[in-house]
Amino acid sequence: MRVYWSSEPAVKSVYDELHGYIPLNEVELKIVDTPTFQRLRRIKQLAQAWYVYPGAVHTRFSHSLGVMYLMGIIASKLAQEGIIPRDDVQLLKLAALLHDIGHTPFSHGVEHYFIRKFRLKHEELSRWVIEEDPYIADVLRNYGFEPREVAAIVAGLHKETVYNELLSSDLDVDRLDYLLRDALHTGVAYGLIDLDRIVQTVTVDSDGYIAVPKKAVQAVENFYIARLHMYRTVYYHKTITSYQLLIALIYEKISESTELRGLLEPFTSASGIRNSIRKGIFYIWDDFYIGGVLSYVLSKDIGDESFRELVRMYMTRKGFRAVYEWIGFSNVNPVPSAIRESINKAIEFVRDQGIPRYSTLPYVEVIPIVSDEETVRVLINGTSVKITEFAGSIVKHLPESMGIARIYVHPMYCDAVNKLITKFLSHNVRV
Amino acid sequence: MSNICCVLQLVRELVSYVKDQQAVGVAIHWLVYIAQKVFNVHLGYRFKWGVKGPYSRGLARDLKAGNVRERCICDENLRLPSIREFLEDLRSTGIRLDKALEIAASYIMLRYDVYPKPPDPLEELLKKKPYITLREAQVIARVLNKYLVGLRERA
Repeated sequence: MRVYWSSEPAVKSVYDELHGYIPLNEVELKIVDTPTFQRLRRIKQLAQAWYVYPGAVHTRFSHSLGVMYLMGIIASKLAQEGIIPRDDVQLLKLAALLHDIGHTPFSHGVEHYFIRKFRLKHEELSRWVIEEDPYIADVLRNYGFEPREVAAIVAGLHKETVYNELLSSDLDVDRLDYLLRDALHTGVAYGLIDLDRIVQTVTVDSDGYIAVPKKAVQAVENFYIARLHMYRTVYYHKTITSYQLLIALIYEKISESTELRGLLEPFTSASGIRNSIRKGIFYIWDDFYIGGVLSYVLSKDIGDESFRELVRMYMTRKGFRAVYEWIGFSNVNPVPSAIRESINKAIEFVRDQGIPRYSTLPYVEVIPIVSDEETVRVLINGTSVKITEFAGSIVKHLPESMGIARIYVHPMYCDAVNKLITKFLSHNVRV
Repeated sequence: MSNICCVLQLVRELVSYVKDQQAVGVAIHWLVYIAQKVFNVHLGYRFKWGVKGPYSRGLARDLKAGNVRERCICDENLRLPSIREFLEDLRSTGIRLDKALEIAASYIMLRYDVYPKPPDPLEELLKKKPYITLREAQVIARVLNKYLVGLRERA
C-alpha cells in the first residue's frame, strides 16, 4: 500500500527563478540527489538557443523541478475535487520530476540523430532510466513506488488516462513550465502566460480531458498564442535550428565512423545507451561530455579536415546559414507541395553545379498549433466542448499548424548558392 | 520505408469503409496502432493511452504535413492483405467500423501496453467507455483472438 507521501513534510527547499521556493520531501530529495538526476544540471533546456539568446542557459534540472511543482499544485487540486485519489498525488509528482530524465545531451539537437537513426525518442529513454537505472529505480522502490508505474505515466501509458493527460496534452504541466521558463531566460516577451489563472482553474471533464471553466478561457487563449510565438521566435528560430542540425550531423559523423566512434561509445546506439543505464553510468552522458569530445577532436586533430571544419563551425558559431525561408500557416499541408518541390529542385541544381553535397541542407518542419484530440475543453453547464468549438474563443480561428521550409548552406557557399537558387525560388523570403 | 507514405495507404483503406472524414481522422490512430502492434508494421509511432484510446502525437503531426509526392514503397512491408482481412472481419460483426476499431485498439492497449495492468481488460474498457455495450466488446474480443495469438506484453 502506498504511503501518503503527498502529506510528507518538506526536508529541503530549492529556490527556483520562476516559482520561488520549491519544497522537496524525502523521496523527492533522494531522487534529486541521485547522480542520474544531477546529470540534468548539465543539460541545457534549450540546447543551442544560447547562440541567439545569451541568457538561455537554464537547464533540464530546474525545468524538472518546476514541472513537479506545478503537478503538485494541480494534482492536489484534483484530489480535493475527488477526481484522483489523494494517494496518487505523490506518484504524479514523481512522474513529473522524472519526465525528462532520459533527455539526450544538447536536448533536441542530439535527439534528432537518435530519432532519425533508431526512432529513439527521449520519452523512451526516460522510461528505460526510470525502470532500469539502479539509482533511480532503487529510490522509487525504497519508498514504495513501482518504477514501472512512474514510467507508465511518463510514457503516457498509465491505466488512468487523466494522469497521461496531465503530463502530455495541449495544456500539460510540462508546457506550462517550459513556456514561461524559456520566455524568462530568452527575454522573449511573447511567451508570458497567466499561469496562476490556469493552475487555479484547470480541472478534468467527465470524459477525462483537461478542461477549464469559461472564466479561464482567455488565459488559455493566451497560452496557445504564446506557444505559437515561442515556436517562431525560439524553438524553430532559423539560427537555433541551424545549430541543432549541425550538432546532429557532427554526432552522426562520429557515431558512424569506425575511427571516431570510440569517442562517444557506448552512447552511439540504442543498445549501448540502454546498457549504460543498466550499468549506472548513464549520468556521464551530458553536454559537458559532448563538448569535451569536440574540444578533443580539435586539440588532437582527430578525423579528416572536413569533419574538423564542422566541429570548428559549431564551436565558433560559424554554422550553416539559412539562405531561404518560407513560413506558412494552414489547417492542412502547411508546407505546400510546390514549395517542397522547389526546394528539392534548387538543392539538386546547386549540387549539380559542383557545390559539395553536405554544404546544403534542406529543412522542412510542420508544427501543430492546435491539436484535435488533445485540445483543452471548456466547461459549460455541466458539459464540455473543445476550446476550438467554443463560440467565444479566438482559438478556433487559429491555424491548426505552422509550416517552415528552409535551405541551410555552409557559410563558405552562401553567396554562390544564393545566386544559383534564384531561378527556382524567386518567390522566396531571403534571410 | 516512409512513414507517412504508409500511413496514407492505410487512410485510403479506411476511407473506403468509413465515409465521415472526421471519424477517419480519429480512427486512423487506432488502425496504425493495430498495424504496428498486431501486424508488426514498423512505422515508429509512439502511442499514448488517451481518452479515446491509442493516440499518437507524431502521427497527428505527420497527417497534418501529409503532402507526400515521393514514390510509395510500402506495399510489401505494410501487409495490406492481412490488414484488409482484419478490417473485413471487424466489418462482419455488424458494428460500425470506426467503433469496432476503437474497441479493438483500446482492448489491445489495455491488455498489452497500459500499466498497472487491469485484471480484466474488457471490464476496464466498458468502465472507460460506457457507450460500448458488453455484447459489442465481446464480439470484437472474439474477432481479435485469432490475431493476438503469440502477441506478448512488451519486454
